[in-house]
Amino acid sequence: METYVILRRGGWRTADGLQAAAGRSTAESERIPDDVAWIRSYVLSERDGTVGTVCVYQASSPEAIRRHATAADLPVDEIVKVAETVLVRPDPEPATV
Amino acid sequence: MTEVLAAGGSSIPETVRDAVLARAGRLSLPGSRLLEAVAIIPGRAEIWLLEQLAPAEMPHLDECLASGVLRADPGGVEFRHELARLAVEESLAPDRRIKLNEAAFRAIADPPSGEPDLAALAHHADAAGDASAVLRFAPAAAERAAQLGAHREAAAQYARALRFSDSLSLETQAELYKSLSYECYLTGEFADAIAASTQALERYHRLADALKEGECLRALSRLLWSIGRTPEASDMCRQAVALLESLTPGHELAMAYAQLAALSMSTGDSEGVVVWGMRAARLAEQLGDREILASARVNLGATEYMAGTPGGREKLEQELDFALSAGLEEIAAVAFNVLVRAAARQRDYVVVDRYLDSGFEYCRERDLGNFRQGLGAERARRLLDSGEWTLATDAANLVLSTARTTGMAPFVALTVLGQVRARRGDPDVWAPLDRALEMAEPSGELQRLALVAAARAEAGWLAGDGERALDEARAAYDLALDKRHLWFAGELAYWQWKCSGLDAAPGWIAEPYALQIAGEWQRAADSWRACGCPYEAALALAEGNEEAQQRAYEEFRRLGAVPAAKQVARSLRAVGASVPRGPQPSTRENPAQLTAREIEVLELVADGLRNAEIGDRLFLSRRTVDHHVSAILRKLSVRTRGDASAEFHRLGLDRQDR
Repeated sequence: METYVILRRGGWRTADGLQAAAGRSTAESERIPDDVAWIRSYVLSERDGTVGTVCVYQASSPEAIRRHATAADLPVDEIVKVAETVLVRPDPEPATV
Repeated sequence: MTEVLAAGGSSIPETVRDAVLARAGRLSLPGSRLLEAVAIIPGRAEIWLLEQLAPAEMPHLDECLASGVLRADPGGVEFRHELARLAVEESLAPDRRIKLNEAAFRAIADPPSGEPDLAALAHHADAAGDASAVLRFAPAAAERAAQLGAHREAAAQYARALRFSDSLSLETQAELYKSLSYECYLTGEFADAIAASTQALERYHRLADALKEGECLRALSRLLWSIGRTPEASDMCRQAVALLESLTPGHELAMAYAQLAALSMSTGDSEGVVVWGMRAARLAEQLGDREILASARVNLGATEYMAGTPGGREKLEQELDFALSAGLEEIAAVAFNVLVRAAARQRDYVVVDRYLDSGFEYCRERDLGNFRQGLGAERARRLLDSGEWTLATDAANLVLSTARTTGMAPFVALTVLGQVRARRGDPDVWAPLDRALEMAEPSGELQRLALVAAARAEAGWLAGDGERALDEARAAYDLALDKRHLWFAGELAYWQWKCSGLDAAPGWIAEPYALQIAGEWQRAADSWRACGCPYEAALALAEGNEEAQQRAYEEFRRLGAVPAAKQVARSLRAVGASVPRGPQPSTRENPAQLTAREIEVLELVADGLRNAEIGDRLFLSRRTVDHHVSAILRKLSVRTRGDASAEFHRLGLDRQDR
């Protein structure tokens, strides 16, 4: 499994829409654990009022990420491979889980 | 336990073994002895057979069934799980296992009705360690399986016979290896096939049987060719010809000629195809051997088809029909592959579509894995060209997960994977393209080198690295010119032109590329669209005027071709032209490709609002709403507002908060 960052800019009109998408994403990645594992996401508050995400996934291939996205009905703007992780300090406590 | 089975491991996990044996241990003594008898029979154990193996214990069958280890099956019983059977079988003391297998062998040799089951006899002879019985029945079982198109089973039976073959004559051993090699070739197990063929060759050489040695050299050459070691394969086939020409010309020599013709075809040596193909055809006619004639004509037809000679494709199709009706399965499978590949390389998708699925089914039904994978890889390329990239990568991955060799099929599948990633702007583009190049290089074949060179040149260009694209395209360009391959020469010339490394290409290259290089982008785009290649058509439009570039941009967005879309957007902005606003990301993935605004409008249509009311609600003019509604009807392929609102609910748009 390789690590990838996935950009989903302005993918949702509201936070509720994103919440529903997160549920579908979890369900789908649990269905195909050998191909895709969702590590974490940062939710973006976009300039036009929509909601986007930057997601970190582990996956067997870029195609596995796209398959997962299609099945869970998530947009994909760009997939970038992570060469290395530099962890300076842990993420701040999430505001809501 | 299902997962363990699905994993396909033959060794039994300890926990499974313990659980099974604990349950068996709770049976009465006769019950567990009956269970042991069932355990030596793979699959279903028939009642009549058990009555012979364990007559005294039969009354305890109900006890075994009640324990849950066995289940009843029409006419017999079987273990609920194959792993449980293996666990019990492995737990048997050696002498008990041998005795049971000997008894099973005797019983099956004299069944109450019908003919003895050869495969079962071979199995029990093997398990009882009875070498002479294995040698009697395993080859016979293999032949029967091969006739029935069960080539993996046939290979397994030949391999079984060979495990007991020390006492056999060199000649018989050589025959068995030869047969094993052929069955492995058909199923695409090339490494096993080459190992077996090498054993046979060595034995025929020691026996100084020139005819068989020549035949074997020819077969081994075929296998080396299959894994892309083409120069070695050509040398070996010439060796076979030299050896066989020293004997009375016969079937074997004609086969070797036909194969040299086929090898010449794959290296793009049209002269060789004609020379060797004609020799094969002439000798086959003299011998009255219709099979070899068909095989020679397949190659001649394919070469003519590729060169654009009228009647070439028809010749190929004729031989395919003949092979199908005469039941010549290998020739039919080869003809399907050759025909589909030749058509695909000249983007003749009418022909590809006519034969791809039927050929795939034909090979699948007959366990011809080698040829099925070849067609599976062509399916992936077809989907790449028609712009269905998700399906294309699915098809490519299917080939890569099943083909265990370095043959043509995985090679083609890797190029598809690399190209889709490059066109989407996804990562991991070069790994598959590097592997494909490694596979192509030792072959020296145009059909491999040019395919991967074109894919790499495209990837380089998409990554904005024109220098690299030029180098990659040049790597196979001279070969393509030399072999006068219209499409490869065209594609490789095109990438060089695109990177400003070539001013003009020969006039004979394939039309759409020639048009693009001549600056005839509109006609090129029309030509690509007529071929069924939307991405290439959009590339041609991107070379056109402002309006064409805007259309190209929209098409790239639709295809998910991110880097190409970015390039054309940049070029539009450079001249101050507007870049069409693509569908918003939020709706890009929705099934009918509706925009966010259209979904909003549709939602209100579904609520039963009229256009004027919708306009008021959304602060839009009446005309704008009319425009949106007609776009919605068109995209949903419906006529009325009522149907549109039904689609709104059917597509689940009412439930999406996006």
